[in-house]
Amino acid sequence: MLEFIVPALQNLLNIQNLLWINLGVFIGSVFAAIPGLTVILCIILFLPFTYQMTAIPGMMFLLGIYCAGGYGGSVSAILINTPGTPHAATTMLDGYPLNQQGRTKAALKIALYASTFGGIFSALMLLFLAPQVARVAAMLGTAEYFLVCVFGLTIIAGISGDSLCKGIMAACIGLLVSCIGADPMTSRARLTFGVERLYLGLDLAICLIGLFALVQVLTKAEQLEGRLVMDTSRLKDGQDITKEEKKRMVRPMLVSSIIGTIIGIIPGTGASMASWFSYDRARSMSRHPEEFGKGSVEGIAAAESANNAVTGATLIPLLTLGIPGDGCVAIMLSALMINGLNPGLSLFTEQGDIMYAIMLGLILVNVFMFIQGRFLTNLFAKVVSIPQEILTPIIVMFCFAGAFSVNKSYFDVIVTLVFCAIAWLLRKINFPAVPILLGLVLGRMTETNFRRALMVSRGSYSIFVSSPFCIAFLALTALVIGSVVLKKIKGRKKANG
Amino acid sequence: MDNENRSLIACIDARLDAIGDKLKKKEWKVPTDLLGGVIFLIFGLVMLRIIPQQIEIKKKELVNGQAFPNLLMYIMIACSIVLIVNQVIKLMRKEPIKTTTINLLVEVKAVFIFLCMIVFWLVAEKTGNFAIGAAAFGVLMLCLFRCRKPLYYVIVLLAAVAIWAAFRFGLGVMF
Repeated sequence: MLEFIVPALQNLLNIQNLLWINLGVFIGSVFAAIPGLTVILCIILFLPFTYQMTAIPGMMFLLGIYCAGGYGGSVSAILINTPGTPHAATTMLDGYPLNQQGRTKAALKIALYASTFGGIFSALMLLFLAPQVARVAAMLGTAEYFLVCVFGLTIIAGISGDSLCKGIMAACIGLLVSCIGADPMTSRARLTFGVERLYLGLDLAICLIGLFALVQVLTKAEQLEGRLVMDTSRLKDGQDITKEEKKRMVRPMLVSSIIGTIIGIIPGTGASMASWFSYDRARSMSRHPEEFGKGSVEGIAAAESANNAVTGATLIPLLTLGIPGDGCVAIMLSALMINGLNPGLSLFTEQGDIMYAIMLGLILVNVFMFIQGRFLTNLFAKVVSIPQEILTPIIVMFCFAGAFSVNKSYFDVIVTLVFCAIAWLLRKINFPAVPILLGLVLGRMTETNFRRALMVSRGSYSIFVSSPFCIAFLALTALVIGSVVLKKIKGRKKANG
Repeated sequence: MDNENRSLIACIDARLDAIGDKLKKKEWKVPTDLLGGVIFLIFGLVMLRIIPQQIEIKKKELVNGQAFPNLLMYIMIACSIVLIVNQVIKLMRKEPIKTTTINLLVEVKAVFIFLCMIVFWLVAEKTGNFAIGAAAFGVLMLCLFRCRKPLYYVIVLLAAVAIWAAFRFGLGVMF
């Protein structure tokens, strides 16, 4: 590890990378602060930009958006009682009451300090844990890899929607779409329906623009949010955080960062679960539980450090196994792979200078998030006031420009429109879209390992129970399915009284 | 002239509001899980018919290119059946099933937004200039939102040109 630190720092510390980090942090903070716009949408919109960059600036830009998204959502949660991102809902519970007490500045500062602490803690965990996990991952064969993919898909399908069946069906759609194009083993065309262009397969970014970004625009048909006006004058007034409050923040920040990191490592769980769980723990551990929900310093600190502690942790399964921890990092995988960086141990041994630069860069991202948060929150709050009538067409323009730029073809724009229509239909029948994304990302890897494993075993399915790793992952998958089913049964019994 | 324009706009507004009110009243409750199960079941069955035509295989192959897509479709069909059976049992027991409300006004608006996107693509492709398509789309969207502020139109048109220029000169995308 140490041999890579110096070359990694040389790769990382240049003006270009620092600029991309800051641009990413700024864009991420603004997007997350606007209710209705998500971090995932922001990453999808800007992903095509990174296709023209090398790995380090591209990843720094995307990580800047991702991490700042964790903090940005809290700005609108504290100022206008509307969470910019789903996980900021926990911050809102105490952030807004503290703002109402005339302590806007203190609430925003607590959120910023806690976010930065959680982010840096998580980045350090990534730096130390990822190479160790990669060593274990290197011991996995094709059968084990296939079962890791199945486990990843099952846990995400089980958690992301209201029904495991619906999640699995959505994941199957993503996996099927990933089969379009050349067969990974024989190079023969599959599911191209005579369209030559489809032989190359469908680019992930193009599918995602339709599935997550354009469909967001169609939701404006349901309700066009009015202009959000934030009173930025309040940011300058009010009492700052006291020494006593700073002391009270330490314990919930540390505990929540550990919780956030553990939850972040498990695929499909995400920042919302980490925030709620940490908030609950902080309340039960607090000497002043009565303050929770009424502007508790510990409440804000716990929620914010937990949701930012997820950011580095989600990269651990991504970089070591190729299993994304959440939807946002799933998209980042394509930015890595386009630069020839494939997840696994080789990433830490053969391309260690690049990989360690990215992991160290995550610490820098959090530092710049802190600096921008200290000095630019005023500006973020003003940008949130952009009217939706202007924002909506601009998002579509970005989507189309992004879709076109991937292969310089208007065919891809039609593909995004098709995916937009599919996403709209799925939305209408309450099917989750995140499992489709995971299916798209993991499709090739799942199929290739499935077929290779069967070829090794000459068609015998017994290979999938042939090693302790296989049995462990099968047991984990069964455990996920079992727990989802059990939860459902309990819920039904409770509903029936 | 100004007064004539204003009364024309007011007249159009009143007509649109009247149509909107009519459409808003038309709502249907759709059983989401049941409908989703049926859609996916049909999709899975159709795909099982299509896959052999779309994926060529050789007899010698131990695990061929059809194996994985077929496996996916079998899983999808199995899950659809579970979903449908679950919903049917609930219906038979007269338990509440999951439904969603489809409002005609919302769907018509969504279709219009989608049509605007198609216009964007058509204009950009036919003219070979992204900025023209983007500008047309921007104006259409503002009209759809019934925006009356000229400044917003100017901002959206400038954004169309700025995005085109950023991709054209910044990233070298020729469109």
